[in-house]
Amino acid sequence: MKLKEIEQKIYDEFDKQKPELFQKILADCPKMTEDTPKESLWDKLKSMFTHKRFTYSVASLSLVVIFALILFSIDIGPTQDTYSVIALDVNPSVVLELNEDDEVIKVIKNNSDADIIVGDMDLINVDYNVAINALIGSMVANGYINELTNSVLLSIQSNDITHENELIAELTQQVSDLLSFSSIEGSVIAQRLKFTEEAESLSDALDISEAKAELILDIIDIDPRMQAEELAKLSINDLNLLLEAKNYALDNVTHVGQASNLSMITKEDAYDIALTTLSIERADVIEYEVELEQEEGIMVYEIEIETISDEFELTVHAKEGTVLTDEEIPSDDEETPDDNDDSDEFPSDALSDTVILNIIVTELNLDKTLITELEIEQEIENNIVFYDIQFVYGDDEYELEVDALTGIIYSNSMDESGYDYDTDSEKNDEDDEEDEDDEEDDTDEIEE
Amino acid sequence: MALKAKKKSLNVSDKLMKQVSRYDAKAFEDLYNQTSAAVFGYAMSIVGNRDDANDIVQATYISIYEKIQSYSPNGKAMAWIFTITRNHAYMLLRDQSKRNHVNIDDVYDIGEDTNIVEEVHNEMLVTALLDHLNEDERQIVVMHAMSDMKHKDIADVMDMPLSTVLSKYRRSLKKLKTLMEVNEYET
Repeated sequence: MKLKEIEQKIYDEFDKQKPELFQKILADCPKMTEDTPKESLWDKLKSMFTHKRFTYSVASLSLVVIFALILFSIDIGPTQDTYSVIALDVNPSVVLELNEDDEVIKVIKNNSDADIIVGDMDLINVDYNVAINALIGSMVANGYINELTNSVLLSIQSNDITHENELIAELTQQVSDLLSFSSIEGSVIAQRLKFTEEAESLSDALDISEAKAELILDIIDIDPRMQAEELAKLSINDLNLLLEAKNYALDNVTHVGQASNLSMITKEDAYDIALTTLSIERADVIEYEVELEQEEGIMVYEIEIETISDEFELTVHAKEGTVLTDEEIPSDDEETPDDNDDSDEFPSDALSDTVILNIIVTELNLDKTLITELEIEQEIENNIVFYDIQFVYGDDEYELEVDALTGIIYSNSMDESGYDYDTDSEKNDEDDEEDEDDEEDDTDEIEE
Repeated sequence: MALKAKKKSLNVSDKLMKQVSRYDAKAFEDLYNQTSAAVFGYAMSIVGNRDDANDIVQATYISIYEKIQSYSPNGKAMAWIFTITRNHAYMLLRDQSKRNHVNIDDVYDIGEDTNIVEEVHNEMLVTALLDHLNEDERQIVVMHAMSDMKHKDIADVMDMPLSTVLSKYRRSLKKLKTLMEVNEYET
């Protein structure tokens, strides 16, 4: 029996057994009326003023004027409310505001690239599907989306959560299909817009769109080692690459396709550069690791190489292939953290290896005795101390980054609710496949 | 034979909640029809007794009526409703000091129509759920089975870390699967 069948059977049984109590309940709810009450003018105004979209927007000013006009009984004719918002970020950043009928009522161009994209297109009163087709088409035609930069950040908010879900699913597919039509294997990052004050402030401070600011804040929420200023420098495609590399479990973010890495050198190239720079023969290497990271807003490969006598760490610019730093790590001092600043020391109040491992096995529900090839390294980044942990468990290779003071797991390569889990992992077990399918619905879940 | 409801994602819209907040009886009835199976199932997962679960269902909807003005539209109406159900269930358990609440004999009498193999199978499954899973596991499985609610939201309702909810969920379903396979083999 499949796991989904078990859930279906539970559902069927409780659905069959549910009580028919509505009339009895209704008798205890005297205010309930069969006539559908009309929304009062005050309710409408209250709704408009408490709508989160308007809490910060310049549109608030317009509303104050409208409110004043209504108070003075001046007939200004019908007003159009923003019901849904769709933001497209590649580098051009365009926001579409829609009415309840999903027609565009406002186009906001967040940067000069957006001016180029929109050009003289009149999208007002156009159905959102048509508008999205036109904008994506223009981005492709103008070279903003191509084989090298194939990632689109799609950010959506609607007054009706059901409609919001529909828009996210539909537009993710639509953008993907549009890019396929242009022979581009695109990747779409879809997120729900929350319009937080924090995102607005960050957007102003770093001169980025609010949609990108919200994505960055979500990343920092998961991984405090990341810094907003650095992430803001990354393109949407680079952010997508970073998220795939880290497999973060981001709340409210879904992801389809793979970010293009064609503008970067390969991991193997980076490894060769490191070997050449360090004058090490491939045959002398006992173990090596190449990881895609970002440093100061630049995509880099961090390469660790271990030979019989030494350990080396090297950072290579992922796009230019140039070596950024070169550091030899003394192999006889295991307490020295792998950090560029030698003055940093791992704090004495950090949780021990054993405690961290116990936390991991408990959190991930693993059997400690089945863990093999365990490697635990102490790291410091942006003044945050953490453990880089790798081990093999059955057929799975785990790689985790865990806060050394709190035990919070920042990233877990095997996190099924993670950003890039589906594409990183191949699963054969039928039940696990079902779990995986199930988790696709829950891609916005967050590791706590 | 009556058509069975196909399990689907139970996404109660904020629009419906807004209509209920305007005391629209039709909307309230729609809400009841959409959610009462989930509320009943969740109540059963805590109290394990049909009469008590029915009382909890009734109390839950009266509370929804009384508290609807305090609901903030955030797209998580089902989590809000489950929280109300949970509170009523624990209140009832506390009042009755009835911790040993799972008495399968009281829950499912095999009726005359249970010669239908599938129905017997479903009842056995729910019996296994109530009998062999602990309270947290039952709540997690039932909330997910009845509403397809996200594990993150279940974690919020249960006040548990997401990772705990995920592992309990998987472990529980696999436990049920094993139990049902053993059952099938024995019969």
